[in-house]
Amino acid sequence: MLWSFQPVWLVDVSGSIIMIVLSTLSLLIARSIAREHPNHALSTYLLWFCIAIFAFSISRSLGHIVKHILYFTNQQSLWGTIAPFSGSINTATFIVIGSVTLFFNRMNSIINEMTENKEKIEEMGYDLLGLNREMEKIVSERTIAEMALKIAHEVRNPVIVIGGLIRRIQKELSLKEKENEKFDSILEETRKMESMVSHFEELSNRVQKRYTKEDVDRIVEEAIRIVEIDAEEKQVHIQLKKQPGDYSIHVDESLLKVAVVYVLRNAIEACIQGKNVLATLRPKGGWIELEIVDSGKGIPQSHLDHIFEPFVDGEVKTGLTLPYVKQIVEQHHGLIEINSIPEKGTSVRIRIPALFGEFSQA
Amino acid sequence: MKLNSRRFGTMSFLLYLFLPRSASALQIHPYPEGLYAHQLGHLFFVVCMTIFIYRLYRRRLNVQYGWNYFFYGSIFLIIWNVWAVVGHWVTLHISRNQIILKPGDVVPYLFVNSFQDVLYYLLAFDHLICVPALLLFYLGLRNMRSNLHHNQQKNVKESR
Repeated sequence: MLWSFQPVWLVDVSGSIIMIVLSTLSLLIARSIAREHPNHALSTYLLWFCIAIFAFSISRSLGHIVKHILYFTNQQSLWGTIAPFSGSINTATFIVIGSVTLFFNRMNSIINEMTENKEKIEEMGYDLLGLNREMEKIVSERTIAEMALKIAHEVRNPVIVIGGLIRRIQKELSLKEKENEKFDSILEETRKMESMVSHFEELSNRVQKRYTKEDVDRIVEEAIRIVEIDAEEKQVHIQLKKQPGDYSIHVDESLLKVAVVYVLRNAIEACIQGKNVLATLRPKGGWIELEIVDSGKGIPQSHLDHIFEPFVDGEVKTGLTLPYVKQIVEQHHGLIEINSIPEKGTSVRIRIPALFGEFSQA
Repeated sequence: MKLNSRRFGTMSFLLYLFLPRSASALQIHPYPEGLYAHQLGHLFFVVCMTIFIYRLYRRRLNVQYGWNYFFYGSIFLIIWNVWAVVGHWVTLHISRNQIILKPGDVVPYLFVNSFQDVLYYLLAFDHLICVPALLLFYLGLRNMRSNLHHNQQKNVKESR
């Protein structure tokens, strides 16, 4: 039985041409992706993959086409000389494609790591932005409140004195009707000033109405997320242990988050590379307790006595963070306690009454 | 007499000089080596593609738009490699006398006498396997480009 090679040759030549076209188009797409995303690890990988596939297709297809051309031009012997080169290049392209493909796993890990880090940084950025906004709000509200109180205090007394004096003048001196009208209008203005003073006092009271029912465990988790980048940089591992219970209480979320962030940052700073920070959250009686323990260098007893005093001179330098943390905790009618063993570590225990919110709302 | 390294070296040199033998130091590369290297290249290709599709599958990329084409394209390439390895092996068993050129014809014929001959003839159509593989890679790349473009536009919109 004789079978013609015509269909074989037809498929071979047309297939070779299609392979050249497809690999060229693929290479062009990969190049355009690489140009559009020059810093994208995936685009670099795709470009290398397509270069390898292009080299494979060209070496293979050109070899096949040249073979047929030489056959039809009666130069079959020349193919004998070219064939080893064509075959060798083809074999080399197998190795190149294989190597590029093997590199995929590493490439994929890099891409995944980069994507995860990017998402984490974005999340942290949002958290920090939110925290910053809240801090600005707190600062501005506190500044307004303090200013309002100061103005109220400074203005109230002179206004009362002015009012009293006017009334005495009106009483003691027999004034004409026209003059009395003028004094009445002065009295009216002082009354307006008094009402303005009471407005200022109201403004200062508004600050205390920021307590809302929040989950303390969520606040702690968010605070950990904010300091995670510092921990990663220092290769310190933060672990949160949460005992079962209800952590939903009335708190000033922003302030509490700031306090937890400060304590966690101090703990990370105290640790050396590879050490751990353990945060334990537990309901304890009528309190919610957060204990942050680091395995850092610890604090000497002499420093510990002044830990909550702002900017203590001499050897002890505390800064403003811990006094501020204490202020926040006390604002929540809570307790803060620091225990430390030099060269072993420090534990910061914050307790907030679970019923504080209910009282503050009342 | 103690045999230290210096004496050992001198004696060896004299032995090589006066009693030479074939050291077989030169590795020759005869004809089949090229074929073996090529076949090993195909096997390496198969192994790499198998690892590649396994990783795509493990990372669930085989169901992602774009990568799914790469997944199936790689399967086609594995089939093509096995196809080609068998094809090269069968070619070795085809005699030149089986390829006949009839007087006046341009295209030769294959004298088919056994299953091996049929296999040789069918395996010559390997483009039917590797062309779809390349087509799938091309489609995968097109999808990836449009995905990346879409994501870029989305990011630009979000940043605004």
